[in-house]
Amino acid sequence: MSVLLGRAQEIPKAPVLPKPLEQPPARPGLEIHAEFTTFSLASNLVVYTSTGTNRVVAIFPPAKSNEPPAILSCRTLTGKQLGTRQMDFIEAVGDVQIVQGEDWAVGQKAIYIGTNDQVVLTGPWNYQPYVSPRPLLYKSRITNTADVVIYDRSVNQIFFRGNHATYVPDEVLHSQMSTNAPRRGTNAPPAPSKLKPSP
Amino acid sequence: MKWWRGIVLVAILTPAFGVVAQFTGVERAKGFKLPVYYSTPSGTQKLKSLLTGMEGRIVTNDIIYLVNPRIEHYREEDGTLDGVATAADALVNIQTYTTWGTNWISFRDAQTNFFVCGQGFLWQQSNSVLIISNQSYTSIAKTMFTNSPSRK
Repeated sequence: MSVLLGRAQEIPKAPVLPKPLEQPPARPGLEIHAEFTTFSLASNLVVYTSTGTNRVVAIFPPAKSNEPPAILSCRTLTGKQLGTRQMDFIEAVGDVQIVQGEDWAVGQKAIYIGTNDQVVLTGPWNYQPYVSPRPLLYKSRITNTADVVIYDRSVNQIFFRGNHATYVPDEVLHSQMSTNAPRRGTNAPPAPSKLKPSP
Repeated sequence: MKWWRGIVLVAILTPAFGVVAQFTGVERAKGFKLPVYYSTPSGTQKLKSLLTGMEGRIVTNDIIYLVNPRIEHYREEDGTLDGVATAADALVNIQTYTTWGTNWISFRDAQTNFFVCGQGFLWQQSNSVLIISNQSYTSIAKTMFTNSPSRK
């Protein structure tokens, strides 16, 4: 066969295009950046991985226009689509960080399950200055930790399961307690609580 | 001497690998097509994926260089188009049904909800797996990952 074909053809050099032939949509929803992508069309499974100091970064657009986007970074991100083409299952593994504005959450694994619309964060965080054997959630200047941190998107609430602890900084504590402090410059007692029923 | 080489090549390639192409000679093939079918119990051919190229050039016995390759993937359930991938050029091994290239590739699903691109790729046609090796970027429409209606 090779005798029939004679010498092998030299591979012609095609121009290296600076951009893909097709461009992404102008107003994307979720954006994912990674080094490697493995996409199985048969099973609708996508796996993103990055090595070394690089990380997989997923940018979730905000639900409201005045909110910052949620940025998730990790080592490996796996997504699975339903037949209806909706994201049914997203799993982020390895040094998972989720940042939205000043709020953040860290752990080793985050799983989103589409059927119940929940994000479940588990695993330790091994980096200074927030080394923790459990996932951490920093929201509104208060840090929470528990074995499992669950964010229920359907009701927009966060739940904690197992070994739950809350850390409130001094300044937050003082600012919340200041309403009961006595009025300055007067001998009058503190202002009556708003919860007290009026006579 | 070149004309009979082309005839021999077409005669060998076409029945063995399902390659449908119009060879103008040993070096070039216009309208390259490499289909793969789902295996059905009834024996009817149901198209799974189709690799096409504007032009094919034979590199070795099994490897063909393709200009403007286009990969179409079809769903098993209803045979509708699932998505399309395009690139500037690629090499295809017609023995192993693998296609690879170092240029950019972009994939878009038929509903245009899912877009992925990157530089450097490997397409395994037999099991429908696309691997992108550098600078991968994905854009997913918002409707794909929201099960509940948006809260205002």
